[in-house]
Formats: sequence, structure tokens, C-alpha cells
Amino acid sequence: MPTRRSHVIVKGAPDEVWGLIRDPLGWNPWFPEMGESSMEGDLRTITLPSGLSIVEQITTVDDELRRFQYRIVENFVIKDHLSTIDVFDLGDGTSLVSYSLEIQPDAMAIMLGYVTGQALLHLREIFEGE
Amino acid sequence: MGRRILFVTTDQQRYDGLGCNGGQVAATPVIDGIAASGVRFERAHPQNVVCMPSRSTIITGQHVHTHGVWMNGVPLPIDAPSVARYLREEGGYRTALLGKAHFEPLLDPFLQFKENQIAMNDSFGPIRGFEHAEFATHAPRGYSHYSQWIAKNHPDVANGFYPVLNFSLEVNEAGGGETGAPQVSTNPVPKDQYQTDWVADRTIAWLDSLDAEDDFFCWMSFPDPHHPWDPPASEIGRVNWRDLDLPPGYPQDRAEREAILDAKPIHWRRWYDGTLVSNYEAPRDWVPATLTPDQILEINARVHVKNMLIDEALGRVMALIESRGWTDSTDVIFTTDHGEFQGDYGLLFKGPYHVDSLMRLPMIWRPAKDAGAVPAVVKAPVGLIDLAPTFCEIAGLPVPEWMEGKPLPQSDSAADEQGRERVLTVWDSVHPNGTRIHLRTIYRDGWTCTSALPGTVHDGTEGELYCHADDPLQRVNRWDDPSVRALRDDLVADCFENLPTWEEPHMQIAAPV
Repeated sequence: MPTRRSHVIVKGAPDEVWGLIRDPLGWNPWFPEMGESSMEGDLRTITLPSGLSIVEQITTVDDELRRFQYRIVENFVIKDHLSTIDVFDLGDGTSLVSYSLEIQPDAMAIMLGYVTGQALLHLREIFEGE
Repeated sequence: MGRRILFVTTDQQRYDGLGCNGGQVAATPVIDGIAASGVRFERAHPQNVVCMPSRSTIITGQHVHTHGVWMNGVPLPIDAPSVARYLREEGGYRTALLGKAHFEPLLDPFLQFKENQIAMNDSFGPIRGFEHAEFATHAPRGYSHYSQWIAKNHPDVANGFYPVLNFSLEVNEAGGGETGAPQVSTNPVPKDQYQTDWVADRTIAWLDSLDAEDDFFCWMSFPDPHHPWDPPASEIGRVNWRDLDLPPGYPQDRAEREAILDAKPIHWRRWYDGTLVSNYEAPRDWVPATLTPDQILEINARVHVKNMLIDEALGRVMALIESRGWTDSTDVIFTTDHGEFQGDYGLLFKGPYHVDSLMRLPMIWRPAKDAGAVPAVVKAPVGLIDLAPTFCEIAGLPVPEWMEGKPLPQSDSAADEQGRERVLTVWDSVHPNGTRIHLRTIYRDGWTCTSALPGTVHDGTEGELYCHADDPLQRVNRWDDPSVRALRDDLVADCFENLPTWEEPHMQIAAPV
């Protein structure tokens, strides 16, 4: 199973950073590549800028661990997907954010690995600007 | 008013695909005519044998490790140096790119890359110094202007094209035609709606939009003859595959073929046997050892057809230039980004294989008549890295420091004066399965020498050494021949002395292609 992981250190307190991640409909400021999104139950439907639509099941929003997990479902190309975002307290007012994923096929691992890495860079920029 | 530049590229075209280079099948009278009145290069090499790194070298005039696009899928930064931008800003040239760009990934579901964005947004640039851009690739799929045009005007033909990728987004191994050859299919698209004619049509339209006094740098970039091998069905009859001879590069005896592969670094034989997938440029699930002679012939016939269509399309553009009265003031440069296997050693497609099949490129330059050049054949080694400096020289502009090549010579004596001795090519790949391959190659003094650096397949002791005079098909690997050990060591040292350092961090792969 192909896996990918990116991480950044963010100049923000973990609860502040987690606040931007835990809301499934609040990702646009730090993940603009995702396009538009809507929720129905635990299913998030995103419409990518290319027009492609992807349905994701939000499986974990753990405020104690600061962990967010979701799976892409109902997609004829993507198989066996699980993404995990963790926010770690570095103890000095900054946070370590990790975005890992497993997915098939290989091509999607490359593309999602790249775009999620870009999203973390956006997240870092948000807090650099404060 | 200065000299105008028509820069014509194809994608994945072999040196021997043209009549002027000894090709015996495809009629290419337009290109042959340009060669006869211009400069024909007999030893032009790319700096990488796949599209994105090679095309990035063309536009930047830089080695691969300088521009940083080290394999397909690594995007060239949008603000990277561009000879088009330089010609436009410093020379006042009108600039356009019509056809295949591929400086950024084609697979782009998040629409992150400008090449794809402008097509989706009904925009035509500017991008990378091209004031006008209309993009196409190997089929009307994805985000190109050609795809948009087909979808809007001829939606019924889109599904007739072979799907380059399968449902796993891997290069498709499905076979077709009469022989079941991979990436062969019957495409009902009318010739005038096929990508080759579309690229010529858009080029003609842009050139015809210019004022008579405009200087232009027009890059006409055909996506063909790259696979899939599905030219318009109406044209297939031009070359009957049953009438062809097997290419000289194909050793017909299986034992001989496999002995040749066994004498090369181990990744050759492992790919042939289907036990190694090292790169994305060939179907993952296709095993070269299953390739039949008839499949080679059918594929080759279709490539010849594609080459003929390119030649005819170029002829239409040349006629437009003539009608505008620009012939005597226009430099025409024709080349490609890399070659391909067409049955050589029992292989197809491309990958980490630095032999003439992939590295020896057609390259022709007919300087504007106003420049008073003399027809010539240049045997000295040149590279795609030399194109950008050549465009600068044609435009009367100094070659900027960021370019690493030299203007192309118009004769071997001019090449000697430039101190031309070598041309360099690199390969670096990391496959999602963890396979890493790194090759460093020099061509000098009639020898090609490749070092296989340590990776997951090689331990750093393997390599290839071929004498082109004695072994024009590169069948005899002399890397371990003690009689040429000193030469080998000198070539390896020369290669590394002249390659730029590959600084870390390396740019990230964004997509497989």
C-alpha cells in the first residue's frame, strides 16, 4: 500500500491550529486546492477546481488527541484510502502538524501526497502572517 | 525587423524517422527539404530522455540538475527562466506556444498548474513568456485547449482515441490493431480533427494574426509520434505493416537478444523479463519479452504514418510563412524532446536506457536566407540545451548567464572553434514501489559512456560503454573491457566534471506524469 506523509512546524498554539482543522467545512483558507465542500451526516462532498467530485467519510474528529481522519469513498479510481492529520504540542507555543495518507493506486498517492504537502505549507503561512 | 523563428518540435521521435536521416519508409519531403537547404545535426542528444525534464531544458537552456525538473511529474516553477520571456522582454518578439507544453504535470485533479488552468478557464496566456498559448497532448482528454475544442465541436470523436492511462492511472497496456500490440487501436477521428492537424491549424491562425513587420518566436509543438499509436484510421493504409522489414535494432534470435541485454546493467534484462518496474513511462503490466515481431511492425507502421502527417502539417505552416513573405527572414529549427524504442533489443517505449534509440535526435536548422548560411552536416555533439542560446543569437541578443548551452554551430569547424567535445544526459527516477535509478551519460569522441550510480537496482559498479563506429546499434557493452578501461575512466571523469551539482532538496514530484 503506497503511503505518504508531510509535516510542518506551525507558529501557533496547538488549539488554535486544531481549530482550523477540526471543522470539515473550514478547510478552504489552508487547503484551497480542495475547492468547494458540503456535509451530509458524516459525509463530506468536495468539488475540486477541475470539476471532479469526491465523497469522503469523516471517521475521526478527536479533540483530545487533536486527530482528524477521513476516507475517500464512492470513487472508481481511488481505493483503500485513509488520511490522518495530527496536531502535536511542541510545548513552546508552536505545533507540529502531520498529514499522512495511505491510498491506492500509486498515481493517486503521488498526487495526494503532493497536494496535502502544499496544504500544510498554506497552513504554516497563515500563522507566519500573524 | 529582425530574424523570425519557427521552432518545431515533435514528441518522442527517432533520428531515423526522417528521410533526411536515412529513414526508408515515411515520406518526409518538407522536413527533408528544410534539411537540404540548412544544417542537419547528426549527433544531437537530449539532456534527459523523458518529456518534462527534456522540455524544461529546451525552455531554460539549462541542464536538468540546474532547472530541477529531474523526472516526469516534477513541475517546472512558473517563474523559471524562459527563453520565450527573454525574447519577448529583451527583443520585442511576439511569442506563442501551440501544441504540447508539458512543463507541468498533465494529471492534475486539483487543477494546481497554470498550463491546465488556462485551458480550463478559456484563457490563452500569457504563460512563461508566451503571450499566446494553445495546448494539446496525446488525446483530447484532460485540460488542454485541444480537449476543449474537441468537446465543444466534435464530442462524438473523443471516445475514439485510445485511453493512454487505464483505470489505475497507469500507462495502459491494452493491445489492439491486428497484432494485439500495446497502445495500438483504431481511431475513427477524421484527419482534420486529429491533434497534428489541429496544432498546425492553430499555428497558422496565430501567425496569420501577426502584423507583417512583427518578429516572432513561434513554438509549434506536435504531440506526435508519441504513443498511443492510434493515428486516424483513414490514414493507416499509407503504410502496410506487412510490407515492412523488422528494424535493424531488433535482434530476431531470442538467445542473441537476451545475451545482448544480459551484457548491459541489470535493469535492462529485469524490465524485459517483467521483474522490474522502475518508471512510469511504459505500461507497468506489460512484459517486453512478450513482444512479437508482428507487433513491432504494426507499431512501426503507425509511427511512420504519424511522421508523415507531421511533415504534411508542417508543409501547410511553411506555405503560410511563404504567403506572408517571411520565408527569407525566418529561421526554422526542427527537433524533438527524446526518442523511443521501436523493437530495439526487444523493447518499446522509453525509460532509463541511454542508447541511440532514445538519445539520438533529429535536429535541423535552416537559418533565415537573410543570414547567408551555407547548407551543412554537423557531426559534432550538440544538445537540446543549445537551443535557447541559439534563439538568442538569432534574435541578436546576448546569451544570458543563466543559460548553460552554446549557440548551435553551423559547421563542424565552427563547433571546433566553440570547443565542443561532449554532450551530457542524466536520468533520475524514484518509483512509488521504491525503485531508484540514477544514470550519468557522456557522448564524446564517438563513444557513449553511462555510469549507473548506486540506487536500489545498481550498486555503483555497473555501466555501459559503446563505440559507435564499431557498434552503431550499441549491442556490445565494453564497460568491463580492460583494453578500454583508461578511456572509460576518462569519460566518466569528464562527465562528472562537466555536470552541474544536483543540489538538495530536490523538487517534489507532484504527479506521475
